[in-house]
Amino acid sequence: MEVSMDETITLIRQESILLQRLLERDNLIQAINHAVKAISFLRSDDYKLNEYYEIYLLIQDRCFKPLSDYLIKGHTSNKFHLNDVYDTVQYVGNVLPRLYLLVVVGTCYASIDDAPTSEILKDLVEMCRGVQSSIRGMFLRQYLSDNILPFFIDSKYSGRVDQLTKCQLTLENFKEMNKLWIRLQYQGFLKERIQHVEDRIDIKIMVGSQLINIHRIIGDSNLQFYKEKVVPVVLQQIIQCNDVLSQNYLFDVFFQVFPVGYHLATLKSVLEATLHLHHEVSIHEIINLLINKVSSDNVDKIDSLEFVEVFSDYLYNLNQKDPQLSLLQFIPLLESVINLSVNEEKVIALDQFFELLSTKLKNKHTEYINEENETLAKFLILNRIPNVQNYKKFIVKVILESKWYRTLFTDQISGIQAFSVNVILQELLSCSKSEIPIKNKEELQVILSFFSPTIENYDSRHPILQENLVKLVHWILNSMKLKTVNDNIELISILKNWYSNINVDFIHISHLAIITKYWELVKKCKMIQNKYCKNESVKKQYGDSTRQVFKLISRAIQDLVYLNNEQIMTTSHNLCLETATLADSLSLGDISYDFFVQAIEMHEENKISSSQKYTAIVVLIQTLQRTNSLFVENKYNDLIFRCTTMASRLLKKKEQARAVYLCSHLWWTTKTVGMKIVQGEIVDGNTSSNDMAKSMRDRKRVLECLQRSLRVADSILDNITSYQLMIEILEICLFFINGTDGWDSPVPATYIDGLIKLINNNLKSLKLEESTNLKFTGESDEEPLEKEEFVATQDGRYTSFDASIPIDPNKMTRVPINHFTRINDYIKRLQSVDARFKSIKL
Amino acid sequence: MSIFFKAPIDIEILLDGEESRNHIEVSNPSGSNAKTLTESMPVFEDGETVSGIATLRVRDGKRVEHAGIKVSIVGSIDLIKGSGGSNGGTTTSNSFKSVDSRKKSVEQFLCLTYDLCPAGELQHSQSFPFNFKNLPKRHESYKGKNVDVSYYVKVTLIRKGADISKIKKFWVNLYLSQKEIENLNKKPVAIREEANKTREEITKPNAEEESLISNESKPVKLDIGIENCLHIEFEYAKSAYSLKDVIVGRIYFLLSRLKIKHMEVSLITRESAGVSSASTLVDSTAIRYEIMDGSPVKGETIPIRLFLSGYELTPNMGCNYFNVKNYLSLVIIDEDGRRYFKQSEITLYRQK
Repeated sequence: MEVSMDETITLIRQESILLQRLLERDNLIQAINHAVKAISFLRSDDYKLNEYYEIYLLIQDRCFKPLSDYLIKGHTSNKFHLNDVYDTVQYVGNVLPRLYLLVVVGTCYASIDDAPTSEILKDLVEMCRGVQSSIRGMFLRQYLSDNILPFFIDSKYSGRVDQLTKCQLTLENFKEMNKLWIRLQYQGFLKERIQHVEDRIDIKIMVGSQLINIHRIIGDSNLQFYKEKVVPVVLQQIIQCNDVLSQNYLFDVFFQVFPVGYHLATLKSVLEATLHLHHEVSIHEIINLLINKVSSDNVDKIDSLEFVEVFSDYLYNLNQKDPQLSLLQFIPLLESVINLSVNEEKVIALDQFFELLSTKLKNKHTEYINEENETLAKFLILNRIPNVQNYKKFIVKVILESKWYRTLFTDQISGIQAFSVNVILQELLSCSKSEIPIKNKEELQVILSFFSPTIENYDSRHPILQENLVKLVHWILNSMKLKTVNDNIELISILKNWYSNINVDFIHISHLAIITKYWELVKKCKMIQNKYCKNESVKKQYGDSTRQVFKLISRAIQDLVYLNNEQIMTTSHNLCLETATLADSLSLGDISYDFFVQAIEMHEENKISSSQKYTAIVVLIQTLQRTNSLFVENKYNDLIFRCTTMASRLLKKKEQARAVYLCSHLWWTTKTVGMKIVQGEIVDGNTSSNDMAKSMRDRKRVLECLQRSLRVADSILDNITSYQLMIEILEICLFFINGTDGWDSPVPATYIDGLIKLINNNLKSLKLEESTNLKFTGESDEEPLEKEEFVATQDGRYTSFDASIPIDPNKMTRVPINHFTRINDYIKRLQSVDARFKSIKL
Repeated sequence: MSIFFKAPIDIEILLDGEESRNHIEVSNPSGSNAKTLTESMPVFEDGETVSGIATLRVRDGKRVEHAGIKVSIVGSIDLIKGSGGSNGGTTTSNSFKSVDSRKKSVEQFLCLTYDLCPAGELQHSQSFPFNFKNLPKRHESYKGKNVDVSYYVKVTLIRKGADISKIKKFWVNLYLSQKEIENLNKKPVAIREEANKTREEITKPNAEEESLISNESKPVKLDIGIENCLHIEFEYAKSAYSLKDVIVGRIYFLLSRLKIKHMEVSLITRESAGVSSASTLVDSTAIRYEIMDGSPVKGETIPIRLFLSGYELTPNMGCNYFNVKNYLSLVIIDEDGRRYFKQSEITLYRQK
């Protein structure tokens, strides 16, 4: 029999009108019969949840309210005794209407002055067990709880029911409601399940409100009672019901409803309870709820040490109870607990958590799935702990102080390590200034051993990690805050050896950084020496240190050379020269000499690739030019001789010509080039003693160089290059006339005249060529150049050009006449002011 | 017989204090030739004196000659014709007449008669007081389907030809004394398995449970079930109840795989008429009372509280010709409409 909602409401209204009329005529029995008829609509399964609720409210409003009013009035005016009415309604044959009426009559009866209130309420709660269908049962119990709550909290009824009974009854109602609530999901057909779950969520507050009621009954200052009578029952019910939705929801309400003080006092039992949750309930979410609640209050109240202990015991128990608990559960939990208990100053307290996790991982029986590994890797980074203010400081402290963290880390597969190390490094390197000083050897070794496995097993497919690992060396060097130079030397050596031993692939980068650091140390030594220039022993001590550092630099460069890699070779060569310059600036000629020799040997042993040779020699020449301290024992001579020889052996004529004419400078030193670099400041280094020592003036060699260069230039078949080189040589000649500091030019004027003549000759033939070329391009006027994508160049190749830029076709074939013209002008101008140039014939 | 001839005399029987006595409404069976649906009768107890006045009114001043007037008080067990009557028919004389025409009396356990007036002639209306002092009444009045226990006072004017008589029915309630009640509760309760079990009847899993039912005044406990489907334990506070009592008990679900729609307790009154071997059983449900709605799970306890005083119940009774027994029946109805039930006998008695 399907009855529509509208009909139902009409019918209930009709019944309620009849009921009220009968009450006016004092016909209670008949009135009750109509109430039964109205309530019978609540026995139906046909209504949707919201409709059922509407009916429920309507009946309350239209039937129960007038009935209650009448009952109270009737009793007080002695029309009947409520005890009899209470018996009478129990004759109603159907259980649901009977129980509703029993609650109506019972609560009226309980409210009168000399009624056995406590017994009546107990009876009501007990009798409501008769309804075991979930929706009907829950609404009945909701009505019951709404009606008995005033007896528990209203001061009007204080003393009628003792505290224990109040709680027991409310808890009983809570338990029964929870059971009915869960049952809702499992009743009916499978296809209705989804609807049932939605319904469950809609009415969850009915269950939750029971916990709220308990809180209202006992208040905030009844800890002992709460501990003994409430918590065990509530927890037992939550655990026993073994239902996911219920456990999640009830724990949430439970944590929210009761004050933090209560939770802290019962922490152990609450935690113990969470060990027995349904396997689909996420323990860490539950614990998080608790932790959030606890930390929402004033955290200072918590005795953190005790707290940590309780939680670590808990985690230990959890692990004992379920060693196979997924890391997806365990790690978030661990993170929450760590977050709660973390103290950045005392990270050693966290060691026990790492130990626990380490033990758990060791006892695993199955391979972890990817997600678990990911979670683990993310955990190891330790950057998801909101209570940590200074992550960089924290993670370094953890690495340094927590043995179990390191063990845990080392035990992981390389993929996890690489991932975590990468992020940790990223964090550490994100700020150039290191906040954590590495204070001694032991700390350095701890840090190094922490990163060792990652570098050992480094997989080149991870470019960012590589970058970070490389940066690590800078970070460590920046972090070293040591007092004495010797300590620094020692630590750098440890670092250097570590890189050398662990993965050769990193040497070329680590050594660069290390060598730079050595340079810094050398400068530092010099500064100290300058500061204590009166104290001979200090001077000597630091002098010794300086020499030691230079030895180490030499070793480091050797290491690089052994790698036998072309690119690194050039770098090593330049490092040698830089170091030589540094030593030179400190007036350590012998050391500087050794580094020059090291560099030259690299040339002589053909370690530098031919493409790099010219550049390397130019650098070498420049470096040699800048030296000041080598003019003893023929060191300078020796070096420049070898340098010139090497220059003259270059394969490409153009390069050879240039290198050789540059070498000419080496044989005719000028005083302006010497500089001393100390502590970043450029100090004019041409002290009188140096000036005297530095006096290489060898006309013969200079001319030899120029002559050699000119010969090579002349022999070049490409006449433009040849002509260009000749002009360059002419410039050198002019330089020698101009910049000889009062000495006679090593280049005689006749030589220059000859050179100019040679250039002019060359120029003539070039101009001839150019005019034919112009003719050639002139002929091609028929086709507008703009349209062409390719033009023929001088050497017959086609070259594309950008059509948008108008190109002078002469550009490609132009002979650099202007260059020569400018030099001619320059000479003419000089001739007018400087007698030395007058002898030059243009 | 007297329908066709207008009786020459009217007999009226008035019991002393009848007006002030408790009356009981007894419904007449629909097949009977009674004029009204219900009949009101004064109620008497065991040992109570039944006295009154019989008034004989002569019609139209005629004289009525008679061979004497007598008054008798009769208590009779009447069985419906054909039911167990073979035995009763032979042993009882024809003079035993039942008040219900469909039934015939099989035993008059009470029949006291004395003369009110010797043979003579009635010339005018005359009243005769009668008195049966401290009359013992062995059985409780009962009006059942196949058997009645009825009491009446009968005044007969003996005549040549047809006697003229008039009966006045009254009702007897027997109340148990305190001592009897105590004995009753100590009596071992017979909870036997019914021989003719139907398929759905809940069987008792453990035979030894019977030993639980001791002859002390302990609660009645039963542990019953259907293997792998249902296992419940039920418990009533006692096995004997007065008619104004409350049955209190509980049902404990140890296992429930049924989808239960609801559960009821009903009180069944079983009338067994006739002599042992050829008895006719008639069950009537005196109370149906829903005690649970919905399907409970393992571990649920459902309370039972059933007030008896509001219902018209028949106390247990019995004699050679019939007995009336009461059973509490627990009925579980599942969502497919199947019924599972279990009956257990209880004793009902009338108590002051």
